[in-house]
Amino acid sequence: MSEQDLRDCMREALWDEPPLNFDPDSFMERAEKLTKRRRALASVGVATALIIATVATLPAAIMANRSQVDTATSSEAAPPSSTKGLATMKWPPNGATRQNHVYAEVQPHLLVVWQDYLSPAIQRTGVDPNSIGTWSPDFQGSSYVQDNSVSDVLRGSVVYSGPTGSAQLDVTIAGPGAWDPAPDQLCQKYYSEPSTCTSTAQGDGSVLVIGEYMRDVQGKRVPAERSAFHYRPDGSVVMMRSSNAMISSVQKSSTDDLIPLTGEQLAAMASNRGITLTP
Amino acid sequence: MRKAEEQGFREFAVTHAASLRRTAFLFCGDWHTAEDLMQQSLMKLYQAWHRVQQQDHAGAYARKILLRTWLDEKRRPWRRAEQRDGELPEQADSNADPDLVSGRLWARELIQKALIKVPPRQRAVLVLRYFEDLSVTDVAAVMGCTEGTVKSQTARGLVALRAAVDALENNGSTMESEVAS
Repeated sequence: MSEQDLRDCMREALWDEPPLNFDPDSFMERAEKLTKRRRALASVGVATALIIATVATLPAAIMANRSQVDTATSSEAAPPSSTKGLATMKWPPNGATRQNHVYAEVQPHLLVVWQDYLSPAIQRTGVDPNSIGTWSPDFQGSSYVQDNSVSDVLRGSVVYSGPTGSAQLDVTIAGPGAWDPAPDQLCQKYYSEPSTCTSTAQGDGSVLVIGEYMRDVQGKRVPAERSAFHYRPDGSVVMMRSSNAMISSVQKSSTDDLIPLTGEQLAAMASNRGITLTP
Repeated sequence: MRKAEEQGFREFAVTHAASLRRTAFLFCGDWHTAEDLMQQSLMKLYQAWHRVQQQDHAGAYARKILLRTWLDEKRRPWRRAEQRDGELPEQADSNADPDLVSGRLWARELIQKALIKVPPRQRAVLVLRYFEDLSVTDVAAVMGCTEGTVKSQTARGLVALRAAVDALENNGSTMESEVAS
């Protein structure tokens, strides 16, 4: 068979070609539908992939961000075993010098602080506090030298009836330059094993330290005090300490219930910028 | 697709649908499958029309799509299982010249029994070269291979086809002698 025979045969083989029923209108309509369906399918696929990718990567990204913050703020010194994070901050900050306020000068402002900030903040935690009473100068610093001559570190306590019984909140406000120790030394100094302590640098340049003091109650090791310290860039510090006023009589299996306020609640109150020593 | 593009595609489809179906028939040896292949190829061409239109060789691209579509179809299990060596239906036209009818039936036998035995790619080369009258270069472009490959596939395809035709003729003469005896 020659090539020409093949050509002829191929042409000849088409002799019974059926009529072409090709309707361009219906074909175009069908093609358009198919295109839309493919696009819709592709969109759904892309959206699904995006959702899956987001769900898969977001927790990891958040965790990575957290660990980055912890690493960036951790001190060069080895942290105590009970410390989860240790934020550094130059202490006292530049220009933070003691003001040596007279107690009578700051007392009116502290009344405003109580009425406008502290009392509402405590109420937001679900309890109804009594008056905080009279603020008094506090012992301060690592040397435990009583400093009654000035009123730059004042403490007020309020006892109230909380969900777990009688509870106490101690509020300490230290003016610029009047607080010791530095935030990176606090944990080592006051919260050794088995207590826990965490310090975290905040976005505004302040440092938040949350410590939990443990002690044995009726043969069981329980958190007895929980404190939040807010070290501010101006050199002032606000501390909130929560404890159960009748801790020795508490007989509960759940140790979490012994302290009425959580670390987050204490931190929120300590970080309240309305709570200051002077206006 | 914009109106102008749509109009362009519509004109192309109307003009080339018949020739694509004929080529498809020579690929597969069956008009129904050829119709399906033509429709599928035009549908694929529609998806890519905005690109094809700019390149200005839509005909060659359509043949390429047709070939790919057919080769893909060949790989499908239900196509592989299909047998095409059964008896041909009697479709002789009683009003036609008997010699002419005989020639046509022979051509049909050639396509449906001999050409179908040639391996798919070699068959495609034969159809493109001897039915579409494409040059070696054009066939290479459609097949996506080198010109040397086209030449070798053509030669092998012709050998395979001739062997299939010989077998067909021998088979036919044997049957005739059996009927005579």
